Amino acid sequence: MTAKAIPVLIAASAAALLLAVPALAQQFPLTIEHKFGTTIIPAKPERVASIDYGGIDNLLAVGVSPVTVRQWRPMDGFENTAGPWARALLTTEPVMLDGDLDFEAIAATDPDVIVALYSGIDQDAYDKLSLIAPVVAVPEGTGDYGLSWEDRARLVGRAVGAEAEAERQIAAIGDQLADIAAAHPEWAEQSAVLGGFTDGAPWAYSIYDVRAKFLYEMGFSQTPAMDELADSSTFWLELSPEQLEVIDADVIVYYVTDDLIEETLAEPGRAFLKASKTGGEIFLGNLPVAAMARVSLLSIPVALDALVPMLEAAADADPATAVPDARP
Amino acid sequence: MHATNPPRQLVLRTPRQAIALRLPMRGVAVAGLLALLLLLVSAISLATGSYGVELGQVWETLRGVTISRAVDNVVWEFRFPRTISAALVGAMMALSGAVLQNATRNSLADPSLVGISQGAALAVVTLTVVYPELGNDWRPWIAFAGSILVAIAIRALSHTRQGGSTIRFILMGIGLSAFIASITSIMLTYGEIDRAMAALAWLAGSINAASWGDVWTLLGWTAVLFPTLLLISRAMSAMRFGEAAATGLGAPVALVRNLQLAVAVGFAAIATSVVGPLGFVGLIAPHAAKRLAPTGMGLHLVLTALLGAVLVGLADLVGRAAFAPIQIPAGIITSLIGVPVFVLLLVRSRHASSH
Repeated sequence: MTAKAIPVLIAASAAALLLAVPALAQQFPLTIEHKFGTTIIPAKPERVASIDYGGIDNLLAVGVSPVTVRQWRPMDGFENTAGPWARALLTTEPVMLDGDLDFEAIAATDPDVIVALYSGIDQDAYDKLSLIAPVVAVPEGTGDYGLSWEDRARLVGRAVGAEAEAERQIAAIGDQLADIAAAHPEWAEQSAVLGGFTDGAPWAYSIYDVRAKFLYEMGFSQTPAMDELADSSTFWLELSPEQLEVIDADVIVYYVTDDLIEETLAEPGRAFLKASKTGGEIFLGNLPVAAMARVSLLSIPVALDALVPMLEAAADADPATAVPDARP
Repeated sequence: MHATNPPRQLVLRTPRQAIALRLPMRGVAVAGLLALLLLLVSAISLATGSYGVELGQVWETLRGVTISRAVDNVVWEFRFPRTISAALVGAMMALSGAVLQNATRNSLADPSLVGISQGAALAVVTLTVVYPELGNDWRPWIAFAGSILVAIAIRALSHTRQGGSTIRFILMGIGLSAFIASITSIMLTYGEIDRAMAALAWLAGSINAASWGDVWTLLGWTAVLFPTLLLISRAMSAMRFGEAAATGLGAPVALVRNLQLAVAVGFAAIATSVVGPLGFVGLIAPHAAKRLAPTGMGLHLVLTALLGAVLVGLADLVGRAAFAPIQIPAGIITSLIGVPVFVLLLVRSRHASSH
C-alpha cells in the first residue's frame, strides 16, 4: 500500500507493485500457527473442506467453492447452507456434514486443506483431521467460536491463498458502515436495541455481539440500562419482564424470523416500549436474520442493505411512515 | 412346564482340579453366540463407512499391507479405534450396571440412576468449563474422582445405625443425581459459551473421535477391573441373599461390598470419561443377559459384558453409517435400539413365566 503514497511513481509500476504485494504475502508453503500447533499448507489449495458452521460464505467470497460444508441453521432452508447471496458462486456439489464429524466423508473428498475456524473441534478431532489434510484452526487464546468476523474472513482468505481479496472485502464492509453512519448523523442521537421477547421475557444482544455491533457502528447507542449490564463476556442479555427499560430504545430491531412475528406482536410487554408508539419497531424476518446470523463477507453487505431502509423509516419518530420489514 | 430337570451343564476341570467350573450349557451357548455376534458387528463396522473401501482392501490393510495412506487412515485410525472403543465402553457400562444391581440387590440400579455417571459428568464438565487449560489427559482421573466421591457420599448418607440399607442407597443416589445434574446445568448455562458447547458435545455420548489413546485407557482399566470382578464373583453370588446370609456362607462381606462398589464406579467413570454418559446400557444389559440365559454370577458377568459390547457397538455402527454423512451420537441410538429390545425381552419373559 506504500506505493500509493508515493506520488512520483508512475502508474504502471504502481500497478505492478500492487499486484506483487499480495503475491508476496501469500507464498506457499504457508505456515499458520493455531491453538493445536503449527499447520503447513504446502501449495495453494484447490480442494477446500470446510467444517465450520456457516463456513461456506467466506470461501465463496474469495472465489473458492468448498468440497464439504457443515449443516447449519437448517431452518433457513438454504440448499448446501448457501444463502441467495452465495448460490450463484457455488460451482461444486459439496458434501453436507451433519451432527458429529464424519472423518471418512471428509477424507473421501480428498481435500488439500481443512478449514476449522468456527467448528468447536477438540484435540482428538484435530488429530484425526490432520491425518486427512492440513487443518486451519483458531489461534491460541481464542475461544472455539470467538473469532471476530473480520479475523474469520482473513484467516479463511490466508488459508486458501486469497488474503488480499479477503482484506479488500473486509475494508469494503468497513467503508459501507462508515458511509451509512455519515449519511445518517441523526442516528448518533438515538438508541437502538437488537433483541426481542421469549415467553414474555425480554432479551437483547449487547454491543459485544457481532450482529448488534453493526447497529452501533452505524451510529446508534445502547440504552443506558444496557450500558450498565453489558460487559465483554456477555454478548447476550437475558432479562426479566421487570427489566423492560433495558430494551426501551428509540429503535427496537426484533431479531425474529417470519414464523415468530405473530407471537412477538402479541407480547404484552411490547406496548410499554416507546418504540411501539413512535413507529420505531422493526421485525426483521427470515432473510435479514439469516444474513445477519452468518456475518460473512457475502452476507453482511446484504444484511446492511436490508437494514438501512428499515432503520430510516423506524428512526424518524413518525408512526405514519411504514417500516419496510417482514410484518404481514 | 416345571423346571424339575436340572439344566444341562458343562463341567470344566484343570488336570489337578485347581480350577473347576460347572457351567450351564445354555449360558455357554449364548455366550458363544454373543461373541460371534460381537465379532460380526465389529467386522461390519470395520468394513462400513463413508470412505469407500472394498472388503478385500480392508482385509489387506488389516494384514498390514498399505494400499494408500488414506485407506490406512480410514481403517486404522478412524474405524478400528472407534469399533474397539464402542465395544469396550458398552461392556464397561453393562458390567457397572450388573455389579450395582448385585450390590444394591435392586434391579433398578444403574450407574446413571444412582448418580455415579452424573458424578463423572459433573467432574468432566467442570474440567471443560472451568479448567480448560488442563486438557483431556486428566479426564479419566477426574471422572473417576467425581464418581467415587458421589459413591462415597451415597454410601455414607444411606448408612444407618442398623447398617447399610440398599433401598436408602438407591433413594439417596436418585436424590444426589438430581442435585448433581442441576449443578451441571448451572455450569452449562452460566459457563463461557464456547466451553459449555464443548462440554455439551461430550455430554451427547459420542464415540466419534475415539483414538488409540482412548482404546488403551479403556483396555488398561478393563484388564484390572474385570479379573477383579471374576475373582469376587463367587462371593458376589452369596451377597445376593443379603449380607447376613453371605456372612453365614463364609463370604468376606465387608471386603466384597467395598470392592463391588469400587469396580462399579471404576467401570462407569472410565467409560463416561472417554465417550460421555451412555444411558440405559447398564440397566438393560444385565436384565437381558438374565432373560437370555439364567446362569451363575461369573458367566452372568461375561454375558452382560458381551451384550453391552454388542449393543453399543451396534448403536455406534447404526449412528454413523445409517444416515451418513449425518452422524448420530451412539448415546442417542443406544436408547433408541436398547429400550425396545428391553421391553420385548420383558414382555416375552412375562408370557413365559405366566404359563
